[in-house]
Amino acid sequence: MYIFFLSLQFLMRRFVNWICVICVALAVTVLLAVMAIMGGFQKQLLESYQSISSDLVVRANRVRDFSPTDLRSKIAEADHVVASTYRFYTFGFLGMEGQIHYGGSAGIKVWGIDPETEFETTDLRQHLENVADPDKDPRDRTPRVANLDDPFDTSELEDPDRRPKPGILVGDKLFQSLGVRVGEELQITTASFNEEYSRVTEPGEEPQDPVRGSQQTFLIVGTFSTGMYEYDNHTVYVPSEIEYDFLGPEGGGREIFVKIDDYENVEAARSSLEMKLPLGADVVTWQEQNRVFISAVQTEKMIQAVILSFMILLAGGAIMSVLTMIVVEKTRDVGTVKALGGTESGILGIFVMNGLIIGIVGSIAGLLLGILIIDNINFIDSQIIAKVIGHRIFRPDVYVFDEIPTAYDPTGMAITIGITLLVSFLASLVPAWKASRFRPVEALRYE
Amino acid sequence: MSERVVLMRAKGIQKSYFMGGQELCILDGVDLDIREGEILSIVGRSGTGKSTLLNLLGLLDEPQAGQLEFDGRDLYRQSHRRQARFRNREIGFVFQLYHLLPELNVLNNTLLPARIRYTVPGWLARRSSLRERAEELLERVGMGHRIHQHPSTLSGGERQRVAIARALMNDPSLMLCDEPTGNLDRRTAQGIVELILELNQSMNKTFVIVTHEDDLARLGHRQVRIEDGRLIWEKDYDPVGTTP
Repeated sequence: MYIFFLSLQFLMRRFVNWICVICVALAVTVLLAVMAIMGGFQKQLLESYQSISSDLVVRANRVRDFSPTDLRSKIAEADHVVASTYRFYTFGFLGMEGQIHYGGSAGIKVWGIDPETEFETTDLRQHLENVADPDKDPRDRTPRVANLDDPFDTSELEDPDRRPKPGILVGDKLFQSLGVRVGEELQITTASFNEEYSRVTEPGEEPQDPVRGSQQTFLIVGTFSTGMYEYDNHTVYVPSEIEYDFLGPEGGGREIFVKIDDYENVEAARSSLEMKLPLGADVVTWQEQNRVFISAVQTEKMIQAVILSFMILLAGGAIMSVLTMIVVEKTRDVGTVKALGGTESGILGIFVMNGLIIGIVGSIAGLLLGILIIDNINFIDSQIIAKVIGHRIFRPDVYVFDEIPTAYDPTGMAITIGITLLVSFLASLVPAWKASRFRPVEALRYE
Repeated sequence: MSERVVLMRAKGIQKSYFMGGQELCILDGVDLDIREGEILSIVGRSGTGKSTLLNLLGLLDEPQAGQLEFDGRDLYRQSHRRQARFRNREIGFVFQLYHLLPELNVLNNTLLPARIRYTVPGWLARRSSLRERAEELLERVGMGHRIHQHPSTLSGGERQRVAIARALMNDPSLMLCDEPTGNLDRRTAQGIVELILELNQSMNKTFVIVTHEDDLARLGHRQVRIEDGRLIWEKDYDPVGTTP
């Protein structure tokens, strides 16, 4: 009975113990808040990646006698499949009025899409509806394309005296960096390996170039925004039906984006698809397709958590030094308790309990403070930090989201609290063990 | 005197300290019987080993050799846990410097031996009766009106009264008092002396008192002096006529 009682009495009457509690609480608060914010960013980024992909992707580059229509009808027969859309892709350079835009070091990825089936399968409509300036009044906001149901419709923009050109949707960041306007023309030049190059030439025949280029002029019909800077700065969409005219018989890379009823059924859908599909077609999930990025984000979050957990060790150090001080200060009282019948394990228990109470109270305070901060992080950033340093730390123009995203991770929180309690326990063991070893006669004489 | 039952028997107790590489013999084969209901005073000059003997009788220290018999068992051969249990139930300590815990009020200081004795369920089952007992004891030692005070607000004499109430809490068979009036003025000391006498007579408590105050030493049914590590019996009389 005396262990908990004395432990509490020793704790309550010393201010220095409350400093320990504050240390533990702050460590827990910082760890929880940073993890929740990192988790929020991670969730937002994963959602962004998911939104530029689909549940499953069928890669069909190695399929012989490829026909998108045939393949899609086979896909439609598979279990759990709700919709699918064909996409081709190629890489190229953008040009305007004879000037080539290299799109930075990464070039431009050109996706050929079919809006009608795309709307059923991916988040394209959402990316076209994402208004250009979210700060504006909703009534003043202009959509990114003139005709949402047929985004490649050029009828309003076409010059009746010139040959009709296919429409092109440009990522909004690329659109801004090019400094172009809707209705202007844009050339795309692509290069592919010339298969004729490996053929033995006839006598007198001109030798073939190793690379064959193709070029097409498009009319800018609007922009799209996925919220992912890299994607929006390096991607354009063109109608998939121009594939042959644009790239010739070889075409581009071929993928079919597949939407399923529920992502829980992804494995069942995948095996069903694998049964139906011809040789050479691979089925991957959106996560597998972005595996490198997803694992990079997870690693980053993990490293931050590990580095920040050193703060808990620091709080453990504070507990150890304060308890060591208390043990020295209480030497005579330890002697008294032993004289009155306290055992070695009882004395050990008193000081271990001290550490644990500091850990428990600090964890609870840290948890509550952490939740308070996580729930009000945007208020803190915009109302407090902004007033002190003159601007918000979070810049909405850098991200597609307007507020600092947060996501609670119950497992991570439980692990944080668990580690805090373990550290508090271990930190109290050494001073507690020392106190328990005092010989009563010496402890009573201690001055 | 000889009709009193032997409560505790110390046999051949040897205790030395090592100082600067030299062995300093404090107790050299001490034999001592403590009899139920008696007051035994131990006197001697400073540093002769009075307190050492008391600590050895109270299991606060261990001798190099010797036995301490209680109820047919040698207490020195028992585990630390059993020794702690023995201290808690059978011995009441009263120290010169009181040794009250500063964090606890008078009532909680008195209740401490009972808190040590009982587990949580045991404590909860007896809580009100133990509290009553503590209050009764405090009333008896004249501290019933100050049970919620902290030791820092009490005078030396008051603190010693609380320490005596605490020592009595688990109804021990032996009270070991180390200079109980050593830190008090003459008038206050007289009050403590009277209290000890009263407790001895009314509760039949056995007291072993280390002192160099003549008034207190004279109270003892028996009085022993420690010199050169040995006991010299000085008095074996009954000043208050309680011996049959």
